[in-house]
Amino acid sequence: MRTFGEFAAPANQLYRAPNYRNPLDEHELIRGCLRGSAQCQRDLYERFAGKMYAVCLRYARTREDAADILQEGFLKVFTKLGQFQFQGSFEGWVRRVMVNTALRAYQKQRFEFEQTGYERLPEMPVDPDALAMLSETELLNLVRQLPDGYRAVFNLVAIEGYSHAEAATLLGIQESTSRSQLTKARRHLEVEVGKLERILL
Amino acid sequence: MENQNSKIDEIFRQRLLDAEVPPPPFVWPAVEYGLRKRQKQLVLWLFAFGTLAIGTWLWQSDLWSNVNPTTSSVPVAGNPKDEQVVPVLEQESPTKNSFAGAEKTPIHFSNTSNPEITNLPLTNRKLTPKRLQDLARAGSKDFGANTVKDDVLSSEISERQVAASMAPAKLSLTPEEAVFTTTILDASSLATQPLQIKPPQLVTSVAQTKKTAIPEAFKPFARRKKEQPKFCYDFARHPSAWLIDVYAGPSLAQRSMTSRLDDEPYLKQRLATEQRSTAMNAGLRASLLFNSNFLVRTGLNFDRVTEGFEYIDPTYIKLTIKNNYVNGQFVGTDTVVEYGENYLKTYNRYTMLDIPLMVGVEMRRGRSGFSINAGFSANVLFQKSGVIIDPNTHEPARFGRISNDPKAVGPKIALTQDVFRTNLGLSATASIQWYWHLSPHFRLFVEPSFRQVLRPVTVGSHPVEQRYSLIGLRLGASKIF
Repeated sequence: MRTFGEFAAPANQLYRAPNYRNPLDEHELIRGCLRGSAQCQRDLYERFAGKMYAVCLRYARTREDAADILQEGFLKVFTKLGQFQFQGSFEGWVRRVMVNTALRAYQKQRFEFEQTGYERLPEMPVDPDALAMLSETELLNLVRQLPDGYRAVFNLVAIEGYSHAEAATLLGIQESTSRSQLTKARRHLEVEVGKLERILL
Repeated sequence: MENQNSKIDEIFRQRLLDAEVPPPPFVWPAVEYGLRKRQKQLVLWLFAFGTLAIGTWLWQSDLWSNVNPTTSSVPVAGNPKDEQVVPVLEQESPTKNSFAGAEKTPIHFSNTSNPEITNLPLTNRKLTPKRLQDLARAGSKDFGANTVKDDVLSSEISERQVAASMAPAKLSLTPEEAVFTTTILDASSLATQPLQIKPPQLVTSVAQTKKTAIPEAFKPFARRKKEQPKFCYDFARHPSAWLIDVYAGPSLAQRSMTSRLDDEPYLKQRLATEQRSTAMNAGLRASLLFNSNFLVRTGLNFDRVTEGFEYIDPTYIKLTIKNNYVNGQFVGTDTVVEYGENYLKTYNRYTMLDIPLMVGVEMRRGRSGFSINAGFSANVLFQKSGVIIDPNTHEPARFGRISNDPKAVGPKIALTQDVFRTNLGLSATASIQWYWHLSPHFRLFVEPSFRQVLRPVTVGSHPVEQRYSLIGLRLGASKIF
């Protein structure tokens, strides 16, 4: 006679709940989302929401806009998840979706006659050590204070590592415009960092 | 300078590229709601596509079954492989005189199911009454009891000649055509009237004589007139008609509530106090059927959604003040204060009156059939009454008419702000109707329907977005004019 124990699976074949925090289980999490599992969707969101919100904050004008971009971006992530080929970094893929969503929002809200007032400012070299003393929140605020055009180029080229040609294609501008906007963005940041330095001293 | 720029960029990249900032708590509910909404839209599209595909398939299959009817040929003994037919004899002007006691026995010569007919060998003999009698006897046993005079036959045509005259034509019979080939011979009239046999008219199919042959290339696109059952309206003859529908039935109201302003506690309060209970629908509809299969429908549609409201106030204080009179004079008051829970149960009613405008396709098979309909309905009246939790006071408050009746259940305080829209606007609606003809001009139907109210029923300033979709079952009757 067979006992109940004979029907049980061996210990090494028992079902093990996937640990989504483990990068090895990331693909399992994605497959769960593709199956439509609400729990997997929630886990995926919780895993990337913090980083992606920081990305959105860098590109958005206000916190409300950043929240809108995050929401829209995650909706795109979940609906277009089937396009992820399971090759390369999934986080990189999600980040690209967020950046594209943010740029789309930026293009919608573009101010055509934006006056920055920093074009004629003299160069004010910034001490990199002073910049390193600033907290992440202060750095983020500095980036967010940049005018839309400068902010987008600075984010794409200086932080994300895109080339000027790629940034120009994404933003629909000339490559030379991208270069000049990056220069102006740096000058803007130098002025703002100088102000902070004076306050600190 | 360039080196310093790259240093600045590097600092920003290192510190900000992988920075994490906790997202606002309302983002995930909004994402979840958006996902649910897209799933619903996907289901709707799949439903619409599925019904369209099934409808098209059924319609196509109906078309093909009409174009390619099954053929039945009449085999003749002695040459069973050739498609030939037993010649059909037509008798004209039957006489009123008949033998006393003679039974009028119909003989179906073209009845191929009788093996005795097909086994009779064809000869070169003349068609004599005796021969006719043999043929008839094979068709009906009773026929042999009748006598037929030999001298009444005036025709000199032999059976072979008759069969030969039929040879050039393709003698395939459809079931409908076989009906036309049936000729009834009356034994009594045979005795008194000479038979007049008309060889050129001994055609197997009336349809073949009247209709021009359809070229093979056009056959798949050709539609044949279908024989209409007795109880069905003759749509082939009258392809356009007006239908008046009256219907009513139960519904299932699917309500969705989402928080607009990140006011989750209020949403939870509303979800906890309001329960779905019942819904019903009714309507009067006029439909124009044109081109035999297409419909345009409009009329009035009534929907009522009833929801239960249950609320327990744990800090209820009941204050009763009683005035005391002695000999008609006021002497003082008795005040009673009761502490406890107050349980309130009432019903919220949402009544919608709409004018639908739908288009549809109707397919039928005999007495029954079905139609697929889709369109929009415009709201003309949205009445609501009941009790919900007020978003500002978080206490039950009434919307709609407030009764002056002191015995009326529930609070008599109106909501502190407008909650519901005065008009619902447009709704998307679709239905599938199965019908059954009781008579040519009267049919009964069952119609599952779906309606999605496109806008929320609550105003934009209310913290909760409340939406409805209704799945109904319409039971009704149609009169065809």
